[in-house]
Order: sequence, then C-alpha cells, then structure tokens
Amino acid sequence: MLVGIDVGGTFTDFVVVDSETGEQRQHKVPSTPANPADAVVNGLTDLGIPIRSYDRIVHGTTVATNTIIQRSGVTTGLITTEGHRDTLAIRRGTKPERQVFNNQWVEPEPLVPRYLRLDVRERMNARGEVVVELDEDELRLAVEHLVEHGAEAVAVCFLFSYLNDTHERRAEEIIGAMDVPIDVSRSSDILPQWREFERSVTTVADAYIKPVMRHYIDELATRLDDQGFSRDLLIMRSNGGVMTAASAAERPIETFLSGPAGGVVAGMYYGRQVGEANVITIDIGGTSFDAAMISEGRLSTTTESWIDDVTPLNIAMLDIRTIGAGGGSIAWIDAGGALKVGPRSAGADPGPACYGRGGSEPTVTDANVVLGRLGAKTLLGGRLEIDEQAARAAIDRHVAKPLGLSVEAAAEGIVRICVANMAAELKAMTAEQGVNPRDFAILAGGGGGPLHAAALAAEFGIARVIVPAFPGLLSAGGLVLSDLRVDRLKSFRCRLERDGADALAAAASDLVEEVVEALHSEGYQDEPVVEVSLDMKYSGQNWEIRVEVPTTIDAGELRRRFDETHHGLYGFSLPGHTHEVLSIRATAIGPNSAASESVPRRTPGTAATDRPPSTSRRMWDDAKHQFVDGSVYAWDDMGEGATVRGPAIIEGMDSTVWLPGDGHAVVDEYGNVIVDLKART
Amino acid sequence: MLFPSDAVVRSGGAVYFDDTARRMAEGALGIEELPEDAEWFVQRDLEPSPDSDPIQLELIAGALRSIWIEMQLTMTRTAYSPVFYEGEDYTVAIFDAHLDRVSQREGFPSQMGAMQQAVRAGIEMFGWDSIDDGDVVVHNSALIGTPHLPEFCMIKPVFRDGQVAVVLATIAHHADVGGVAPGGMPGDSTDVHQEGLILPPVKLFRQGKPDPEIWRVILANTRTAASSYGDFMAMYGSLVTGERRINELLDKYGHDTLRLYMRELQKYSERRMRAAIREIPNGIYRAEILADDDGVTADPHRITMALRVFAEDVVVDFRGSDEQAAGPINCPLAVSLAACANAVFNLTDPSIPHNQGAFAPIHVIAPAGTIVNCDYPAPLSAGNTETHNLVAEVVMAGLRQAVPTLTMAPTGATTGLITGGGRREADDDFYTFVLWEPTGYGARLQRDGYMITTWVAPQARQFPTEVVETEQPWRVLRYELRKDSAGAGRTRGGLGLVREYQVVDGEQVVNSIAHYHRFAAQGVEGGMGGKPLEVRIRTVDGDEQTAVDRTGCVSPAKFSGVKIGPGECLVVRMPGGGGWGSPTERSPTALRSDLRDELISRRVAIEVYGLAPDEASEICARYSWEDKRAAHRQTVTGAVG
Repeated sequence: MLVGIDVGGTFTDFVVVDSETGEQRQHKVPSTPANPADAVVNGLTDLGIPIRSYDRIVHGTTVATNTIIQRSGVTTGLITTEGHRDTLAIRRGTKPERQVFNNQWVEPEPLVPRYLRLDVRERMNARGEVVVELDEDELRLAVEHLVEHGAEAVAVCFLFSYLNDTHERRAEEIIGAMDVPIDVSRSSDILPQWREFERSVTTVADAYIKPVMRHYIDELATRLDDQGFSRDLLIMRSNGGVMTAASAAERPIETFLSGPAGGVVAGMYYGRQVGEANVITIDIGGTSFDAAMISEGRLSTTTESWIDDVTPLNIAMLDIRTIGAGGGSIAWIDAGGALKVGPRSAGADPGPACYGRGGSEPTVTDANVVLGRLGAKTLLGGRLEIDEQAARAAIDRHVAKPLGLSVEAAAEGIVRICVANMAAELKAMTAEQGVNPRDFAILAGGGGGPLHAAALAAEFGIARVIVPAFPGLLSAGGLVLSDLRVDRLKSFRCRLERDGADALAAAASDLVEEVVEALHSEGYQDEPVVEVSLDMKYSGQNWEIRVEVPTTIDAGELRRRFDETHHGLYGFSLPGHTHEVLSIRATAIGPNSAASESVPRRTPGTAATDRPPSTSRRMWDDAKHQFVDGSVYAWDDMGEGATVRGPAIIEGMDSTVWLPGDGHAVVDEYGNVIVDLKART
Repeated sequence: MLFPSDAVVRSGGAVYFDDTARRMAEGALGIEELPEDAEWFVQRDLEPSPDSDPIQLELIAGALRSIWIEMQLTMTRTAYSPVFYEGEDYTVAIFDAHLDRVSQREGFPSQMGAMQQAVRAGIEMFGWDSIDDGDVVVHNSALIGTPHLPEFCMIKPVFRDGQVAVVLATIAHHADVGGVAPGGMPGDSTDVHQEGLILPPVKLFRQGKPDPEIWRVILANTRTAASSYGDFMAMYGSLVTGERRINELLDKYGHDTLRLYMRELQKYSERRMRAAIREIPNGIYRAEILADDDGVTADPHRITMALRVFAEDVVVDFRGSDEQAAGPINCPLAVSLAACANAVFNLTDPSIPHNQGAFAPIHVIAPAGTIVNCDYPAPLSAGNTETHNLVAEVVMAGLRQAVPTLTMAPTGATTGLITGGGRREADDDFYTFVLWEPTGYGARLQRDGYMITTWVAPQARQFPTEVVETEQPWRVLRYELRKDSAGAGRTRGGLGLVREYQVVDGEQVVNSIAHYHRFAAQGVEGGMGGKPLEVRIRTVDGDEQTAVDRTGCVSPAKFSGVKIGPGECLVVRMPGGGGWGSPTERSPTALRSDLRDELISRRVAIEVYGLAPDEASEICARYSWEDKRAAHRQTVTGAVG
C-alpha cells in the first residue's frame, strides 16, 4: 500500500494505491500552514487505513520553498575566503531587467547580514592548488562569533572549492568537533561548480532552511511513528525522484521544487499510458501556472532557478516554470490603455467576483463564467454558488466600459491574454531546451488546466491534450509513481582535442560509483539505472550545454554529439574549434517497480458511447466571437470510449474541461479524457 | 551617394534626433525664449487606430518580447568573450521598416539609446534598393551611431513578399578592436583612430552567404581573432533566431496586421511617456557638472544644462557646455541622447516599454564640437562609458529640482573601467580583459542608495573572482564593500566597491578610464558627499602609488599602458553615492546596523552621525569581525614573535 501526500497552499491531497489489487482512493483536506504535519496526519486518519499498513509514504512538501520565499529560516552565518565577505551583497552588481529605469528600486537583502558573513585566512588558486593554508584558529573564532550571535546554521564557501575541497572539508570537521549547536552546509557538497556568487547563494539557502526542515521531518516522522508506521517515509526531490526523509534533512535545498515535482512525474506516466513520449505538463491553480516538460520520455531538468529576480539557485531540478497566472488573476487596464492580466491575484479570499465573497475586481474565472465555460455549480464540487451577474458587472466596469467593448469581448480578451502570458513562458522554456512545442502533447492538471489547455495548445499548433483522471490531484498522484533518484555533479575541466578522454572516463566512472553508492545508502538494493552527461562548450565559449554520453566515453563521439546539439539549439556549430568539458553529471535511479500499475485512474461510468449530453447551454466561441449552443457532460457518468464533440464542457468533481468547436474528445479505459484538436469529422 | 569615408567621419552636428531640437538650435533661441505653443513640437496622432484592439496589442507586444528574449539567450550562450557571456554587454532590438524601434532588451541604456541612430546609419549607407534578403550589415562607426568603437552594430532586415517587414539588430561590446590599447579603451587617446578599427557599414553576409573579404578585414584588426569570430557568430546567431520567430509571427498575423500593431506599440509607449511627463511641473531647471580631467590634459570640463519641461515634452539644452576635450571623454550625439533619455526614464514608470515612442517626447540640443556632441576626429572611447554617466547625472540634478521625491542624490557615477591584455606565456596568444566595478548610487528621500554598475549599464554583470582568475592572470585579493565610502545622511548613499587585483603571472599592462577621483558625488539637503574614486598601484612593499606617480601621466584615473609587475596590485576603490538630509537625523536602528555591519567606522558613527562614543565602542566590541580577527592575528603574531 502506497500513499502520496501533496501539501499545497490551500489543500493537502492524498492518493492511495494498493499495489496488489490496483485499487485507488483519493482524498483532500484543508492545509494547515502553521504546522503542515497536522493536515498530513488528519488526512491519513480520515482515510481510515491503519498507518502501519502503508509500505511507503511519499511526501511532496513546500516547507523549503516557503521558508525561503517568506524569509522565515534560521539565523545563518557564512564563512568564506579572506577578502570575499560581500559576495552575497554584491551579487552580480546588476538590477533586474524590469527595474533598469527605476531609481527607487529596493535591493533585496541577502539571507545573511554582513555581521554574520565572516572571511577567514585560506586560499586556493584557479588550478585548485593551496596558496594560503586554512587558518584553523581563525575559523574557530569565526564559528564562535556566529554562535554568540545566535546562528543555528552556517554555510562554508571557499573560493575554488569545486576544484579542491580539502579546506572546506577540514572546516566542516573542525566545526563538527567544536560541539556547538550549528548545522553546516558546504559549497563543494551542495554545488561543486564555478562562480562563487551562485554557489554561495545556493549553499546559504541550504543552511538557512536546514534546521527548519529537520524539525519538520522529525515531527512528522515521530507522529507517524506514534501510529505504528515503521516503513519508508520518502520526500519528493526537486529532480523528480524521491529521497529518504533523513537525506532531505541533510540536503534540504534539494526539495526546493518538491511541491510541483510530483505533477511532472505524473505527466510522464500519463504520457506513457497514452503513448506520448513528448509531454508539456501544465498545472493551473488559483494564483499560479506551473509548466514543465517530458521530452522523449524523460523529465527535462535545469540547473537554474530563482529565489527572487536577482538571486539564483543553481541546483539540478526539474525545469518547472512558474508565473503568476491562474483563475484568480486580476484583469486591469494600465496607464496607456492596454489590457493586462495578473500577476496580482484575488486569491481564495475574497476570490473572483463571481464567488460573491466581496471580490469586485474581474478575474480570469469571472471571464470564464461570462463565456459560459464555468457553470453555476462547477466550482469546489458544487459547494460554491456562482454569481454570474457579479462576474459580468466586474468585467463591465473595469474592462469592457473603459475599452469600449462588449462584456463578452472583454471576457474573451482576458482569457486570451492570460493564455498568452502562459504561452510566453512555455515558449521561453522550449526555446531554452531547444525543442519545438508542436511536437508535444499537453497534460492538463490543476483546477484550471483542463479549462485553458485547448487554447494554449492552439497557440503552438499542438494537436493533443490529455486530461488525466483527477487533474486536481496531479502532484499527489505523481508522488506514488516516483523513482528513487540521486544526482551528483563534479567539476572536471579538459579539452578533448588536447587531453583525450581517458582521464574523463575514469572520473566519470568514479562519479558513477559515488551516485550508485548514495542510492544504495537510501535503501535501494537492486541494480540502478545510471545516466551520465557532460557539461560542454567550445573552448573560449562560456555557456555550457549538457550532452548525454554513451556508456563508453569516446572523444570523437562526444565532439560529434556536442556539435549536433549546438546546431540544434543555436542554428550553427563550429566543429573545427576545441571542445571543452567543464563538468560531469551522474544520475542513479532506483526504479519504482509498482509505478505503471499505480497511475491514478477513474472508474469509468456506465454511460454508453455517444450518449446525448446531460444538458446544453450557451458557450462563447472564440473563433466566431459569439455564443453558440454547446453540450455539457458529467465526467463521472461517461464510460470508456464515450466521445464528445466541441463546443462542449465536461464537468468533473475538481475541474472542468473546455472543448472548443473544433475539438473532439474520447474517454479512455483509465477514465482520462483525450482531446484531439485537429479532428473535424 | 555619400562617399563612405564621409560617413565614417560625419560629425554629430549634422545629425538631429528630431525636428523640434533642430528648429530650436537653428533659431538660436535661448531656452527661456522658446515659445510655449505647441507648434514647436511634432504633432502626431497618438490615439489608438480604429482598426486596432487592445487585446491584440497586448498579445503582439508579448510575442515580440518573447522574440528578443530568445535572441538574447542565443547571444549569451554562444558568445566567446567574458564581456559578452558574463557581462551580457549587448542589446537586441526589433525595428519596423521605418527603422523605428518597436521592442528591445532593456538592460543597457547606452546601447538602447544609440540603437536607433546606429541602425539608421547602417541601412542608409546602402539604401533599401541595395539591400537584399539575407544581407547582414555590420559597423562600429561611433560618429554615426554606435556608442564607441568596441561596440559593433549588426543589422538584419526580415523580408516578406519582397518587402521589408521587420529589421532586427544588435549592438554588442567586443573584447578588442585593435588600436593602441588591448581591450579597446585607452584612457589617453588623442584621436578616434588610436581607439581601433573603424568599420563603416559593410555587408558581412550577402544573401545569406558570408563575405570572406569583410571577415578577413575585421579579424585582422583585432588581437583576439578566434574569440571575436565566435562573438560575431553569436550576434549573427541571435539575428537568425530572431528572424525565424519573426517569420512565424508574420505567418500567424500577416504583414499588415503586424505593421499596424508595431506602430500601435510605439503610440502606446508615447502616450504613457507623455502622461508621465505631464506629472513633472513645467519650468526651467538648470544644472552643471564637471568632469575631473580628460586623460590628456588635467583641466576639468564643464557640462552646462538647462532642462525645460513643456507640458508633455522635455527639452534638454546643452548650449554653453565646454568644447570637445583633447582626451577620450567626448560623447557622440547618440551617447548624449541615450543619457538624457536614461535620466528621464528613471522618473517615469519603468514598465513603459522603451521603444521609439518613449524617446519621442525628449528633445536634445547639443551643439556640434562640444563634449556632448563631438566632431571628427575627437577621441571618444570614454564618452560612452563615463560621460554618459555625467550627462545622466546633470539631467537628474535638473529633475531633482522639479520632483525631488522621484529622484536620487548624486551618484558616484563612474564605470571604473579597467581594460588591458597581453600575451599568455602558455600559448603566446593574445588575451584581453574588460573589467568594471559597481558603484554607490545616491540616497533617495526615503531609502539608502544602492550599489550596482553605473547608469550606462545597470545590467552589466560583474565578473566573479573565480572567472577572473580562471581566464586572466590575476588573483583577486579583495572584492568587498568599501567602508565609509557612502555619503552620510538621514538616508545615506550606496557604498562603492573595492577590488584588488594582484598580478600573478608576468607583467600586466593596464588601461583605466574612470571619473570622480577629483569631484566626488555631493550630498543633498545637508547630506554629505560620497568618497571619491581611487585607482592605485600597490607595490610589493605595500606602498600605494597613483599612475601619475608611476609614469608621470596626466590623470590618476585615465591612462593607458601602465605596467604592473609580479606581486603588485591594482586597487580600485569605487566612489560612494551622496547622502540626503542631515546625518544626525538618521534613524538609530539604521545607524546601529550600519556600524554593526562595518559599513561605517566607529569614527564616522561618532563624528558624523553623533553616536555616543560608549555605545559605538560597545557595538564594535560585540559585532566587529574585523576587530576580532585583527586582535586574534596580533595575538598569534605576538606569540610567534
């Protein structure tokens, strides 16, 4: 028995799978932000299954993200190389793009104030050779200073430690031996990669959340333990794999995207289920839009994410893009008369105008109500009465009148602009990954995903949209599917033309050994799946490209692969130039053998194929700019093979599918709705 | 037909940004005499076209933005020089067929401002009749548009059905362009030819095929041919990426619709900019600023400015400014225009897209032959990196009189540019470097000043120590905030930065171009001034010298070819920003945290801010890491000795 538990801002979701019978259950309870463990335990209790009978509890948590975003971590210190006390404050010396012409800009404060950023005598050079020995007494003095001022965690970041980590390791040893209550994060462990600002920020962020995460995990484990649970408590990693709770407490920064990562993993499995190797997963909630990619059956990863607009976080994680666009996004007119949507959101309280809870500004949800795409009883499973007049009034007053448009045209514009904002983010993501979005299917998750996926697909000429059986439980569903996964990075600089590939191959094989060992220490006993890639560039260039490497490393083959990738990404290659390797990345995966049988599914209803719709009503047609008559179906009633032609709406418990006029949808054997946007039969 | 060499040397005097400025200058009217009536200003219909709708406008604006973001991505990721890939010192832009910009990367105000002239000059050299699909024009002729010689402008028109639909362009800073100083920025050049290759507009690609002769000319004139080739290809790659996306946009919307909305976007920006200027009280605001020296003579140079706000237009009048300088601090007109716009944009909503429409209400009168509009063959390499900052400062000083709450106190407005190079011992190849440092900006009425790269390039990323030491024969001993550099005040200025570069391998030959070593940033309303800039050489014995001490050159901050030996250090201490209001009115919490964080010394806390000596001592004893560490080192040394 497995359970995936995803803690979101509003709800904590549960998906339970009995791997023997294939039986599944879903559950939702309100989240308890003050202490997220409460909702976890409450929900498990509600489910009524004895906690000790679970083999595996997999947890997606936003503790790391929230602690960083809300700046609620512990007092943290930084120990660094002499003369480099201000790396965090100098950043890269820039303003964010949108603030270039704002002389009233407010610089974000570093996570560590200056009096806790201490530089000590030690130095390596750019070849990783010791130039100045570590002054161990000075280091002790620094640690004492930090402890005296209440630091509960310290990051150690010395220059060039990615080439030679002996000083950092020694520092960690000394601090460990000092018997002071302080957690240590070491930059050569967290991010052994050049550029000290990016490495320091990432290491500091890890330290900053470490005691918070450990406290949370300890509490959760204790409470589960009290109920007799003695098996694996696993935490979702940002890279789409899972780790033991103990590892998460050790390297909490790896859980930065733990929350949304589950949904992406789920997307990969839904893709497999319906035979799509290329999938863009979207998750649209009330305030935000998350998007990620599965390319040729594999999760697409990145090493660049941002804490705020000038502070990067460079660890291996799924490439998940988030923007402030969702059902609650507010539409407004700017000073030049342009219609804008978001990023401000009406949130859950007061919520969109149509909720009738005092919201008066028009939102994307209000626009969907006006366009007839959200029915009167479709929100929150019918628990919320929709006030269509309030939605119309808000749009009329704030958008339609000022722009001289009809309420419907304004509503259409609001939805289109919201979708365009999302499309821009997808465009940036696919461009950076060097793929063509047209080759992908969209997997529509979250309450709002199925409502907007068809329009988003149309932006790119994408033909297929997969609406999974429980779109609102996408992340929780993914948690039960995740593999154990360990990623490691090692700096290794060489020029293939000059140095050949022998030393590189040896270093790669060491790193592989290291990840396999790490995976075994997480409790995985079988033969893991291993992947190796290299960060490469043309010598003199600076931006590395990740190149997958074959099992045997051959210089000629590596050069060829790099040229090909470069050409694919940027439209040209320079095969005669020197090819340089910067670092090696290795991944060990312990596959989750029960995954394929555990994909969430919906027991199909009994209704026959081509059964007439439950009801019909007016729906806005974007192409004709007018209302047309469309059908409304109840998802729960629809049997396998049931087909629907647009314009139509399929109403489920936690979301609504909008099928435009040229769309065609089929319910498959798992209860998923597969939308085909090209079929015009 | 202009004879090509004419174009190279054509002075700024013949080029006017707009009609309003030209009529004012030709009429020889003083700024007070300018009539209030609207006929002096270009009247354009800015109402949205009845054929347009605001939804489509927003969609197309977003699509264009996505395109230049992708162009930018290609550039950074394929570039070869640190100034490209770490510094991101380039701008990508999308123009309409009239060569008015529609959407561009908002990072480098100098390049954004000069872009229009640079692109026009590039296309005008040929005329549309002589430009074919697939042609790519490149040039670096600073007197007709690019900001200075190291910055090349590359232009690629996108055709649709035989007509020019869109023009894509990029300006990017290259690591070397030949000339007397490696890195292209001598601090003491006496004419523009010493600053490097001047490439008039030429076709680098003809109908999609590279012209090998042009490539040979360019690459023969740089010390870093291999990486320069890569950098030019990065620029080209970015234009090709952009073209692919523009074609998709044309497929989707059609040429007519795209044309309509490109114009609507310019109108939209102009409407918003004009509405923003209306918020500034009408009046004449005067200010002047002094440049320390010019690198060739030690004389200061004065920029005199009168700014007049007429309803929704701003006229900036530089008549009365000093004649062009003997050294390289002269601005081509495009640079001065960019700097004026930079200052005005800083008072208006930063979300206004800064396309042609945003520039339209800003009119600049800059007489030819002056420091703000120099004539051939004036040296000008530092006009873009340094004098741009001074022009922006003097305009800001005028605006501060009009709307103090929207402005800031004076900034230590220098880029602190150090360039140089030599040959590597390992392979005997040339290498060059271009380094700059963040500086202290002025205090705001409500907030302390910040510290970033100065006006000309607030998005120019600093080089991390690990990159500097890996790519160049330096060891960076110190890269920290400069204590006590900020001008004290109720709100204080931003701190400057101090960086110490030690020579580890052979001898380094360096050039410097910086300001504010003589005239520091002043405080406002009782606030104190920031500390001035210092560029020093520290000998192996620990003594500090200026370049003047060492070589007898004219300026301690503008020089070229100064040799620094093994074990010696080049020390750059950036100036601080000016403070606002009396230091004794500073909030006790802010004052204590400045002392706790060692941003100010105990002495300044007591003498300038009026903190009680006992309390200051207590804070230092408790929090000062420098003191604690020094005491520790003393004990250790004492024990050993």
